[in-house]
Formats: sequence, C-alpha cells, structure tokens
Amino acid sequence: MYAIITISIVAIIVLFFGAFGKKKMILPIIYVGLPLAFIVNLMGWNQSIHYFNEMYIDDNFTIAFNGILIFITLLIFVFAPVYYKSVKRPLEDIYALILFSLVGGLMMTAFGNLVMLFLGIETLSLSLYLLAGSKKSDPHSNEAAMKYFLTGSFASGFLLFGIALLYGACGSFNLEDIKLYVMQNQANIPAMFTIGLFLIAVGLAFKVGAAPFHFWIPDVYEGSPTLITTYMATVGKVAAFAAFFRLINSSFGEVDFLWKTSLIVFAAATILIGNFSALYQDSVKRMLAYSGVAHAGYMLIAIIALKGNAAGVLLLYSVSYSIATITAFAVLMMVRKETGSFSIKSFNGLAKHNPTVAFAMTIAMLSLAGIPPMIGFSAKYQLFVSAIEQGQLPLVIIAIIGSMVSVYYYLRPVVAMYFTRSMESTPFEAAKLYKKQILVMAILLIILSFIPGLIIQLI
Amino acid sequence: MIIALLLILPLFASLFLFTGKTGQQSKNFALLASLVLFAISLIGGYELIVTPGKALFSNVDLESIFGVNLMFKIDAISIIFVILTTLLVPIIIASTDKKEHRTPHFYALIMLMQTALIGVFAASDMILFYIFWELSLIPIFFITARWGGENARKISIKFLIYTVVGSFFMLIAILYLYTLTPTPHSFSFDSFYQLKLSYSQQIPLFLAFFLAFAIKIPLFPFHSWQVETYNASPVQGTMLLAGIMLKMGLYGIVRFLLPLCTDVVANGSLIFLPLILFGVIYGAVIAISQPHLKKLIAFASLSHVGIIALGLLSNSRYGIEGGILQMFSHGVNVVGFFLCYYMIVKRTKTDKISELGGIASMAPRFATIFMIIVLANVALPLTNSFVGEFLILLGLFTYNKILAIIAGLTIILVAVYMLKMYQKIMYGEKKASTENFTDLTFNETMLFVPIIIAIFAVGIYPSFVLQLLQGVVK
Repeated sequence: MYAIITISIVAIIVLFFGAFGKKKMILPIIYVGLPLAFIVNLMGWNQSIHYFNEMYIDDNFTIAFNGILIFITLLIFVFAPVYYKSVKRPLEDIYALILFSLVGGLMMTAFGNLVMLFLGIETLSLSLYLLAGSKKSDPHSNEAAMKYFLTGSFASGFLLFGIALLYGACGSFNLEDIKLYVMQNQANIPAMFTIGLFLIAVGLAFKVGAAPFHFWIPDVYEGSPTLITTYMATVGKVAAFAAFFRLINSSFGEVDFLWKTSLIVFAAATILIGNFSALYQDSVKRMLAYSGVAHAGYMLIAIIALKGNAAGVLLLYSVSYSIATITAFAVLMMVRKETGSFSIKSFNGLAKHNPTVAFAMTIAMLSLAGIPPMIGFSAKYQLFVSAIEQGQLPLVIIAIIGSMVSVYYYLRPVVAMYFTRSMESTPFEAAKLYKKQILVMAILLIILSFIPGLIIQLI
Repeated sequence: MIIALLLILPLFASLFLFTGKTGQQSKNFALLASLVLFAISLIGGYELIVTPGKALFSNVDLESIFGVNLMFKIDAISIIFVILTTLLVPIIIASTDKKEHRTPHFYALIMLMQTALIGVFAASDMILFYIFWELSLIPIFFITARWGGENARKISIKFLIYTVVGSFFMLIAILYLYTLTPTPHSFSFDSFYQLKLSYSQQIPLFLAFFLAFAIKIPLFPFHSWQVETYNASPVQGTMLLAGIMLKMGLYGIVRFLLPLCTDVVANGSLIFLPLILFGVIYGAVIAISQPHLKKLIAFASLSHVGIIALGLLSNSRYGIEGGILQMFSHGVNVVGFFLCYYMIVKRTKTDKISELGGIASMAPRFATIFMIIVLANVALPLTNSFVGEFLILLGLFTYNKILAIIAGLTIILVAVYMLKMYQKIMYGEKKASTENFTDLTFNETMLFVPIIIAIFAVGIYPSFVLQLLQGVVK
C-alpha cells in the first residue's frame, strides 16, 4: 500500500520538476524514489494487512510480485538516460507515465475486489496506450498506440462485462464472497457465472498476450519505442499474470472444471503459435515479441497447475523471463542506435568488437531458450514439475516441443554475433554508453542462475 | 572430496582462462589443470579398486538455493568414464599446435566441456545429469562453430538442434519417471531404480530414452549429423566429440535403459538390434570407399559404437561388460586415430588418401605408432579392442547366433578398410604432398605415449577393469 503512495508521490514530483524545467533533477529523484518504494514495500513482509474492506491485500504474494515489478522498473530506468540521450526536453511526462502505470501494476497484484482489479488494469493500460505512442514523429509508434488502444479497450470491455455478470450471479465483487458463493453452489453453477468467468479470462488472456488474443502483441511491441516495449513486455506481463493467478487462486480453485480446459487450450495454442511464429521473424524485436507470447503460454501453465507451489514457480518464471528479456532488449536498443535497424543482420559480427555485449546477449538467449545451467532452465523445469504433479503430462510435452523449436530462433542472434562477419570493423559508438549497464544485467542473470531455490521459496 | 575437486577445479580453471591474455600461457595452464585432474581421478579409481563395491559419494543439500539437489556418486562404471575423460583431455589440450594461434577462450571452453563431462558421469540426480548433459553442448557448439572448417557454422547449428531435440525427449522421460516415484517425488537415481515398472510403462520410457541416446551416440538412422560435424570441427573438437562426448549416450544406456527398461530390452532386442547391426555394416562399407581420412575415421567410429551398443543391448553379462570396456578402448583408440590424422594433415595440408603415400620410409617412428593404433582399431589380440569386442560377440552369441555371426563378419570389413588405408598412406610411392614429411618430434611422440600405454595395458591385463565392473553389472 505504502509503496503505491510512495511511487505516486515520486511521479507527481517528477511532473513538477519537469514543469519547472529542472531536467537534471528528474532521474535522480526516480533513482532514489524507486528503491525507497522497494524498501517500503518489503516492510509489510509477513504482516498480511488488508486495506479498505478487503479491496487491497498486502500479503506475501503481493509483496514478492510488487518487489519484482519495482525492481524491473528500476532496471528499465537505468537504461532510460542512454536511450533518450539525444532528446533535449525533460521527458517528465514519459517517466511519470511509466511510474503511474507501475502503480496500476502494483494494484493488480494486490486486489481483493474485482473493481480494484479493473482499476489496476485500466491504470496500467491507459498509461501504456500513451507510452506506446510517445514517439510522436514516428508513424509506427502512432500506429502501435492506436492498435493497442482499440484492441485493449475492447478487451477491457470484455473484462468489465465479465465482472458485471459475476456480480449478477454472486451479488458481490469481493473475492472472498465469490469464493463462498462457489463453495455453496458448487453443484449448480448458473450459466451467468460461467460466462462471466470466461469473459474475465478472455480479458486477462488479452492482457497477458495469450493466444488466440495475441494479435496485437507483435505490431504494438514492434512499433513502440524500444524502452517502452521492454516495459510492456516485462512489467505489463508480470503484473497481468500475478492478477490472473490471484483471481483464479483465491476464488475459483474449487471449480477448476469451469476454466481448466479452456486455459489448457489457451496455453497449448500460445506456446505453439508463439514459438512457431517467432521462427520466421527477421526483425529481432518482432522475434522477441513472439517469444513474449510463447513465454505467456508457459506462465499460463503455472496457473493451470495452481496447487502446490505454483505461486513460487510463477514468481521464479517472471524473474527469469523479465531479466533475460530486459537484457536482450537493452542489447537491441544499442544495436538499433548504431545500425538503425532491428534486423538480425545488424547483429553480424558484434562479438568481434563488443565481446561483453555479445556475451550478455548470448546468456540472455540461452536463458530464454531454457538451456541449463541458466535460470531459464530452472524456471522451466520447476514449472514442468509442478504441472506434471497435477497430471498435465500432455501439456508439458507440448511445452517441451515448443522449447525445442525455440532453441533455433534464440540461437540466430548468437550465431550472427559470433560467426558472421560484419561489413563494419569499427566498434560501436553506442556500446560505450550501454556497455556497463548491459554487463550489470549479465552478471545479475548469472547470479540469479545460482539461486533459483531461494526465489521459489519466497512465497 | 574427490568429486568436489573433480568438478570445481575445471570449472574455476575455465572461468580463469576466459580472462586469459595469451594463448600459449593459457594452454600451459589448462594442461597443468587437466593433469592435476587426471591424478585426482586416478586416486579415486585406486580407492574403488582397493575396496570392491565401494562408491564415492558427495551430497550437498543446497536444494533451497540451487533448486536442484547436488547429489553425486561415482561407482565403478562412472570412474571408468571419469578417468577416460581426464586421460584424454590433457592429450587433446597438448595436441594443439603453436601455429594455430588458439585464443585463451579455446582452452577455457575445453575446460568447461570437461566440467560438464565429469558432471554427467558423476551425477546421481536425474536433473543434475540433464543439466550437465545440456551444458556439454554449449562449449562444443562454440568450438565447432568458431574454429571449425568449411560450413562449420551451419553444421554446428544442425548438430546443436539435433541433439537438443534428442535431449528434450529425455527430459520428457525424466519427468514421466518423476511422476511414477512414490511421494514425495524425487529425481535421484536410487529412487528410480527402486521402481517396479510395468511393461506398458517401460515402452514409452524406452522409446524416449533410446531416441535421446541414439542421437547422441549416434546410431543408425540418427547419424546424419555425425560425419558432417566431425569433419567440420577442429580436430580437438572432433576428439572431444568422438572420444568422450558420444560415450555420454552409451553411458546413458548403461545407467538408465538397462536397469529401468529391463523387460523391453529383453523382449524387444530383436526389433532394434538388426537395425543397429545394419548401421554397423553401413558405416564399415562406406568407410571402405571413403577418399578422405577424416571422414573415414568418422564412419569407422559410427561402425564401432554400433558394435558397443549391440553388446550393451544384448541382454547378457558378457555383452554389457565388454561394451563398457570397449567404450573406454574406443575413446582411447579414436583419439589416437585422430591424433595420427592431425599429424598427417599438419605436415601435408591434405587428408585425401589418394594424395598421400610413402610416409613410412621417411617417418619410421610415426609409422610404428600409427600401425599400433590401426591394429588396436582392428581389434588384434593384445590390444584393448580385442578384449572388448570378444566379450561383446560372446554376449551377442548367447543371445542370438545369427546376429553374432553377422556382427563377427564386420570385423573383417574393419580390417579391410583400416589396412587398405594404412597401406595407401604409409607405403607406395611418395606423392607431392608427402615429399618433405618429417618424423614426429619429441613433444608429439609424448602425446602418443599415454594412448599406447592404455592400448596395451587394457589389452594385456583387462581383468582389473573387468573385476571393477563385476560387482556392478548384474
């Protein structure tokens, strides 16, 4: 709760400083404010406080996911000054919007009431619509914002409709009350309830980018400014998954026959479509977008597995996916700045003049592909184990087939970097700016690879 | 303690080498580290011989941090492969020529490879096994793609994808086994061995494991990556692949297929043994007409590992013992063979058999060494292969006489292509490329010494290995 307040205050201060033209102050405020919010967030550990009539629940699940969201945002802000280096204006609007959308994300992990869920999603999404179009001169960015806004508000409509139907059936927005209702009426669930739940699932599947509601992802991810894409692909996705998990876990665990089959179909389709589409992409940015779709499919498995330690698995997977994705996008930003293109060809020969960056990209790719001993493997393996304990062997086999396919496209940038000669022989200018930050990301990824057990047992 | 050293030492050596400056210093450091490892593994082997039936354990309960239980166990079967690894890696490192100007990364990758290989042979937890199994791919992929010959990039990707697909089948099998273990579920080998699997459970398990191992070994018809990769890889990479890495697949058969899928192996052998046997003959026949020396060795290796797989799956004690012994021998022989190839190519810059000839008159020392290695490959009595192949054929004979007779005939084929090749290369008229062939230098001769010792030691007195195995093979 206090983390939300802290971040909101930081965002408002940022806006003020921007309005008064104090450009130099903005980023330092964020660098102080976000760690502060992180600490404030941690102070609620093991206390499980419920605010405002169960509207907002600060339990360990919330705190763990909020900690990750804040941390990821901080990492993205580390790349902000280099990404926006050539921009002269203060950019307070973009930074403040990122912070506000983070607030939305934090609300989504903590909701105890469906209204709160809707508020969180809208706060996150509205900011993201704007951010997607924040490169005003670029038609692709405008296109992305427009597409995102239209499809996104459509999905929000579904979600709201579903919430309304659920309210009609149970007479409450409160998750506890809904759970009570489910327990009492397990035998004869009305159709209104089932449809409502399905519509909510559709809305959330859209937000996490699961097939068959993933069509917006490639275009929006490709068109948006890369820094914003990174933010969408990590914070946006992790928050939506935390919300999805909390929703299913707290109210609908008893009636898994209502949602399990459709989620299994969603997950299988997402994994296959995401991985197979990524095979044919020549733009690395688009490939990473489809890889994000595929990973959404894997994370859905954690929701399907539900019982046991699925929350911990989802947490581990979120960490592994987010850190590797940020690393990959950071390298992509650097390459784009130098070559002006996202194409896989622009990676050619990168290892020769920028070995550090190439190394970071390699371990990020290996981690995303789930090759031991990177953290991506631990996450996938824990996920498969928890799913298989719930008797989901066919789904796990599909997921493993997806992983096999993914090895090919994740290796393409690696191969281009190490084994293809480039036309240019001079080191990248942009590398000087990005090198240190990317190295930090790589080290973080390696350290995390050795402590998956610690992360999974947090919650 | 020994296990911890065996794993940590190469890992740290590898990390240290990644920061290395000059190639030569790195080579010396890597050589030193790998020799120390060899000594350590010999100590481990000594402990196992002194007390039969003993196994070295190392359990570190760090599951709460690593997420994987670090369980290692080296028994008699494992120690043979650990020693094989630690014996061959120093030779491989030492064989790199000064003129090649390898960067420190090359040696770092070899040491990383060694970590992974020892980890595979020492692991006693299925997930740990899988992690090392996959880890071993990364260094060999980079070695092949970065320092390989023509088309190395494409070929190494094909190789990587081929084997990754295979190991994902293994992952499915592992997870399936995991669900069968009694709660609380466990990935340790022991809990798997205690399972009583029904026949219908064994069949999918067998197929998944067999596919993974058959790709790795490789067995016909999954061999299409092998010759290309051997050919494209630098010779050190080829030695790692042929000498040690493909033993991972055979080791997997011994560790998992035989104890877990006993009934399928016992009943179904007649279905897949002829297929493997066909691969053996196929490799040998192609080797006869192979114009390039490196490809000839690759096809010969395909044929030889097929025979080993026949022995392992022949469902008899002799076959299994012979197979394990032959795995060790084959590793030594094939590395020796590739070393000879390397010596020739270094001097003549060609590996076309038709462009070579008359080397024996100029390089008598090399001719002798090459002869010993060729004869070891032909499985002449007193060399290491003889014992292994004899036991394999004996085991096969007790299982099925027709198969054994056909397999026995392939030994003639081996003799045909080996001796024909030797005769063409070493005798006859000198060719333009062999005119200035110099004999081996002292350093180069030293490379062959451990190999020749291993050939004769196992060939003349194999019982110390067989005794070691006796308690384990049941």
